[in-house]
Amino acid sequence: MELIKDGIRIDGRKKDELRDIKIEVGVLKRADGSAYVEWGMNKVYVAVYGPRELFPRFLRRSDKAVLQCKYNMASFSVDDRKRPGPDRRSVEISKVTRGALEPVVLTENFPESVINVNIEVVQAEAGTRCAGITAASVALADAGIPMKDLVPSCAAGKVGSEIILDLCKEEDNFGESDLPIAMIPRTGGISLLQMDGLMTAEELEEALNLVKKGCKIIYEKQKEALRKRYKGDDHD
Amino acid sequence: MIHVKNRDIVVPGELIATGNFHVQLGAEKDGENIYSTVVGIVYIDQEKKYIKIVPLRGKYVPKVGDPVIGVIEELALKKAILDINSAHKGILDIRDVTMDRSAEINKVFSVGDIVYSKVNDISGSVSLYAKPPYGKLHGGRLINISSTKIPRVIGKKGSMISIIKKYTECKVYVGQNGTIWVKGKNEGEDLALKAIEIIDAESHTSGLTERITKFLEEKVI
Repeated sequence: MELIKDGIRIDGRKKDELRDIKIEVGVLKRADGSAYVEWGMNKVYVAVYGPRELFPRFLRRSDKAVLQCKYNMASFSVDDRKRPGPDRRSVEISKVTRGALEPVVLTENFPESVINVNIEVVQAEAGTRCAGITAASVALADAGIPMKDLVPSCAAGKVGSEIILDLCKEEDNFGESDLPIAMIPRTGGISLLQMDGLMTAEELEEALNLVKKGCKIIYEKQKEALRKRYKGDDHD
Repeated sequence: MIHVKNRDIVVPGELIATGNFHVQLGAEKDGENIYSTVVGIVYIDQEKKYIKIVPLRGKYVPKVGDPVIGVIEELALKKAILDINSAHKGILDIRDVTMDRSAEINKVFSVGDIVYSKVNDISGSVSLYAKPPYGKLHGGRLINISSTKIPRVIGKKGSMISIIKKYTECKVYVGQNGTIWVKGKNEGEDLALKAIEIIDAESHTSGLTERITKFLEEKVI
């Protein structure tokens, strides 16, 4: 099977093209803030609760709020039923999500409390952690939690000898390398960088540039989604 | 130099202005640049050089002296624990409720009671005060809106709230934490709650007081 032919990928995209992304804000009524992202075939819900009181008490920090992230995949989200409950992979993704979001959330405003971010993947097709982080930062903003910036995130990878943006399922499974990245556009910082597989330094450089372009597009979509949510009730 | 229009909706990370401005709320300085930190409406005063971003959502941040309305969640030996729609629970000591030294908390309050109180102290825990004119509210109905929209419900010098009281003939107590208590005749309560819902939805538009007056006039007659 050939994954790239004449610069066109297996799902018809160009090398630097993202999948279709749709972001909705405020979809869950009971949450303080929420977001829903459709990213290609990925479907991800994020609920944010808080700041609220944290139990057990010893986990509280007197100088800042604690950010608790939970990534979970529904058992029906993949072709073969996933055994429900936390596993090694989801614990890892929860941890890196927290790391990706913590630099932007102004946790020092809410000492002795907790902010919960719950990411629920209801349909998965490669790149769920990026979709999760993208949605989570929008949901945090929707909850009214002060933050430095939104966090767009997307992946690049190496398939054959080509560097491509936003891997789909086949490219993720049969490609050489996968590189999910989360960015802080305001400062140009990177708050998540993982790499699965191998790349040379030059290839990494090329992938980073590609991701920067992709994140810019996602960032605009995040801002647009947030504005749309509140423009709706403007009657002037 | 200002990069947004006055009364625009801004999102976190948006560049608001460059230069020498005072930041009042909802923004942060990074060198010369001022960036928004919340989703909110931006207010810029060009003459006085200050920037304020009023958040559209968010939990109540307690301030000493604020009147708040809480619902009792739990009774301890000598204090009640109230939900005040904030990151922390409000704590109401029996000594701050009544002068009667022999009073017992479970005789005065029960779980689910609505209490109109004042924030007394926020160092450590949020402690409340409920001696008269504050105290327990009997009957009536509660509505929760975003705490940032309370100033619009009250209006300039209480203009909005007095209009609602006048047309609906209800008693209205407003807590700074976004909880509002309404008591009156059934139709009056319905009308007052509807008016508050409109204010909640359209809080960032101008000419709201006139529109609410019109709305209430139509419904009352």
